[in-house]
Amino acid sequence: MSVPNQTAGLQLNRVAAGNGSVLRGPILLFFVSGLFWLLIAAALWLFSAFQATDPSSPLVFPDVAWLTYGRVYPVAMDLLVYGWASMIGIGAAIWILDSMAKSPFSGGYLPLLAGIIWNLGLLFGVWGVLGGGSTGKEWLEFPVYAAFPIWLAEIIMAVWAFALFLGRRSKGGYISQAFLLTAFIAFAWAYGSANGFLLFCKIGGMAEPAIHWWYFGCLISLWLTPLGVGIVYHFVPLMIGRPLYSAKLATISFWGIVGFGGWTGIAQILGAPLPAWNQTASVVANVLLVVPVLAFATNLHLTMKGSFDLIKPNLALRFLVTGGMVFGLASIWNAITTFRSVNRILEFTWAITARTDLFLIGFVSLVCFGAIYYVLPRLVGRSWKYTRLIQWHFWFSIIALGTLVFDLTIAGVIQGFGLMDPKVPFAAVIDLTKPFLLGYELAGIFIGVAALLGVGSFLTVFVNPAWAPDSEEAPEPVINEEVSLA
Amino acid sequence: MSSHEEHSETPEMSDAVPRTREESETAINDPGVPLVGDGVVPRWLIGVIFFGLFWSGAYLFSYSGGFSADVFDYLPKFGPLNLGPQSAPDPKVVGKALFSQNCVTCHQATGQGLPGQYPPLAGSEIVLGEATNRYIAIVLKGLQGPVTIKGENVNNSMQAWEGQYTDAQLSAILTYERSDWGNSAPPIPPEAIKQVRDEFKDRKEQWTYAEIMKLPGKDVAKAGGSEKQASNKPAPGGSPAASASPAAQQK
Amino acid sequence: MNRLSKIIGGVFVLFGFSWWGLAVYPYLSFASLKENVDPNTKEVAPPDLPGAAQQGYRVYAANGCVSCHSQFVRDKSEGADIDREWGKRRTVARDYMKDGQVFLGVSRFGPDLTNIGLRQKDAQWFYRYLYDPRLFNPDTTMPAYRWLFQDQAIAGQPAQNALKLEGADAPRPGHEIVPTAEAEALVAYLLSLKRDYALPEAPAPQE
Ligand code: HEC
Repeated sequence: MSVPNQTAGLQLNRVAAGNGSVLRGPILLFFVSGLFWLLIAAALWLFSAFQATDPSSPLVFPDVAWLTYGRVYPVAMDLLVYGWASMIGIGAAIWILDSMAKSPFSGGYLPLLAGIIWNLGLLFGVWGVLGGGSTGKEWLEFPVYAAFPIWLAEIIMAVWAFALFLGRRSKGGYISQAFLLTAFIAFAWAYGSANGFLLFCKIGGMAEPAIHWWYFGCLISLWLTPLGVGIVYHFVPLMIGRPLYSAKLATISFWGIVGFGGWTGIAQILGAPLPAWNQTASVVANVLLVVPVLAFATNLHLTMKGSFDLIKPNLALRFLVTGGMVFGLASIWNAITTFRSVNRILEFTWAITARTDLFLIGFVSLVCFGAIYYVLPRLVGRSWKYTRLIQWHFWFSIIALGTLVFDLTIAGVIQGFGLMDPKVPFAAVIDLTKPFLLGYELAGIFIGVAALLGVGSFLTVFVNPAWAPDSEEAPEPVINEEVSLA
Repeated sequence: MSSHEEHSETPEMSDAVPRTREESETAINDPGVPLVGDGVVPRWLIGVIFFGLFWSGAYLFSYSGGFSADVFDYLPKFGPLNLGPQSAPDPKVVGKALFSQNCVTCHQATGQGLPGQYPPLAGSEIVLGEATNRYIAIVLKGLQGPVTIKGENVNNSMQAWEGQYTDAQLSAILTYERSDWGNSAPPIPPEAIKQVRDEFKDRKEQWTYAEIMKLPGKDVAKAGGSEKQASNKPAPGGSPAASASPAAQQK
Repeated sequence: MNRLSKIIGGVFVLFGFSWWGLAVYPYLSFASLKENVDPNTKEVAPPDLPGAAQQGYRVYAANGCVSCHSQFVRDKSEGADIDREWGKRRTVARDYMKDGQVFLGVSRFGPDLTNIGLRQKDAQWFYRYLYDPRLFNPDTTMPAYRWLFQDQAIAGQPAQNALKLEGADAPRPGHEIVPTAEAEALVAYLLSLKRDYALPEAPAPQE
């Protein structure tokens, strides 16, 4: 099979930047909003980490309701998911779906409208939760008046995506489309029915946490995962100029994630009074989810094989490939910690927090930045100016991720074994974890720095002169000296 | 999605599709379409898949509590489901619950009563005495006027409880009263309550203490109710000191 | 087109399956739970919540107590919850059937609160704890909720529920610190958190 430009490496797929593009505005809107919410989320997260470590520090305001930990931390997490990861994912999805569909329909006003409504929803959500309107359900804290706009915006995006897809002029498709369209269906369904059940119907008792944590599984495995996997599947082959290794592996990863993803959530509350088979099914789903994720990671690895030296100069690729590989590790770790014998110890501890953070910071955030670094120059017709800055950004992201996950996991293991031993008083368990909470603060600082570096490099693209489509230079952030060295 | 058949599709082919949108209008000018190869699935992954399916089937069926909605424990339980104690409930536990619904207001959770008004139950001659017929009769019909318990005088009134509680419930309450606050006397079976209830079934008014003391004392709690005169002296094992014996006398 | 409908259909079926299993099925099976009435004592378990507690859970929700406190006791085989005396028995589905909202929680940065109403029975204790947890443990990481209280001039008699505070926390002379309506509702809710009744499906484990 002929693969054009296989050797062209970095120069492949140069595109004329979208002149007068209808979708440039919406994509930029989603990117800029996502980065904005990332900054807010990182700031609030750092703030809450300081509060958790030392409640008598001057950063604690016991007289100010909206600055207390129980409100700030949930807002930080919600912004990370619904603000940062979701909005960047949607921005990249617009790019991908449009470039695949080659449809005469662009419906640029729909994504624009969705972007605006989504931002309004987030704004209401932050306002509502800080102001005392939180629903008190993790990852679903946003009150109705914030959840509804977000859901509506997502429906608009889903309608847009399907309209575009149905009107496509290209023959055939690509795996990324399947993942992204699935994500749009799944989020609309999951977010809608979880909020519908929990906010509008007066259901009581244990049905409430069942639906709540079912939703969490969908949020992670059927919204953020397909977005991230779709992005990686799409951009990596394009950047290295080679086809994706295997259609079969892609198929396995797709049906595996769709099949098991929805069942994963209940494993967060093992031991709760839910029917035993629900809990066991969820454990099994978390373990089996390793199969499609390994299929994905293997596919990525075999696609990259022979091109791995490209991740040194090509920074967008580096973000994407690292993110994809971290996802493989995260899912294996997730399976290990879901087994009853391990979960019994780690449940309720920082280690479980770290497990979610590994996914959010390690996989989703890295992939989001990779997508931005790939798409943005093509979108605005300028190439990256300060690639060093992006390199710093990469390393700071890795350090932040490592510090955060390593530190919290150790803290969680200590806390878990402490809690398992009734002879250790509760306050002593907390004291044992305190040194690690300092590491948590440090990780919060690194995350903040990484976010700032990311936003900074995003902005610097705009100071670069327009990029000439015929130039030999690739639009990706590429460290040129290293290329010449190679 | 299974882009299986597309792996041979080249950008040339996809570009051959007529484009109606003007080049300047295309949302994002052709950024290229990724291609898919037909690489084989590595053997080890096939192994992992089969092992995973096998393991999950086994795990699911061993730990799912028969897929029933009301089994919460994942560990397989052999034999019939244990829904709590199948034996009759402990009368003392039931009795305590009943005691704290009504009796507690006057006699107090400590069993000490209220000085001058309501007599103590802890260490009371009536409660612990061998003449259980008096004890039961008081509770069934109520009591009024001055009473002397443990040498102290109290004066108030207690309603009749016969309409409120069944034999079994009264038996539980009385058994409980005989077992807490340092009291220790044999249980009072429901048959004893029934016997006394039948004996005075026509009586409507509350007792006075004097009337009660005139009743010939007998221990109806003993099987058949011993006809021999029983006094208010503590029943066998009725003193706190002899607290080891009641267990033996439960039968 | 055909393949698309297969994919969409497949997604719907697979997704709908998990939706049925983990959302609809629990909803249906828990909706039919009935309270337990003891045949001997006619006691109803779980008992109805006092009215004030039904407001208080909203304060608990709004302030993210659930990000640090869990509310479920696992079986003895699953952890030390029972040995830590967070409960005499595991909690079962019926324990939650009357709760305004179920706060299972996934974090035990603070102790489990399933039975806090059994460990502490005095509203005054809760007020002081929420006002300044460092009165009880100087190193604690439990945040203070001073904004749940207000400082007011004593008019005539000191208020009945005024906080008994000493030292650095003591109010200015002539003033007193009283709980707001929110604090009162929250504490009523916390006081109602006691699962001390017996349910046949949840026997207390024998030693
Ligand atoms: C930052 C996490 C955090 C948040 C948020 C939090 N708590 Fe706590 N809480 C703790 C910790 C830690 C302890 C244990 C303190 C100790 O023993 O040193 C605790 C202890 C308690 C106790 C005493 C428990 C016992 O067994 O003695 C109560 C009651 C309590 N919290 C209620 C609340 C309420 C109500 C809220 C919400 C308004 C809340 N907490 C929010 C961390 C938190």
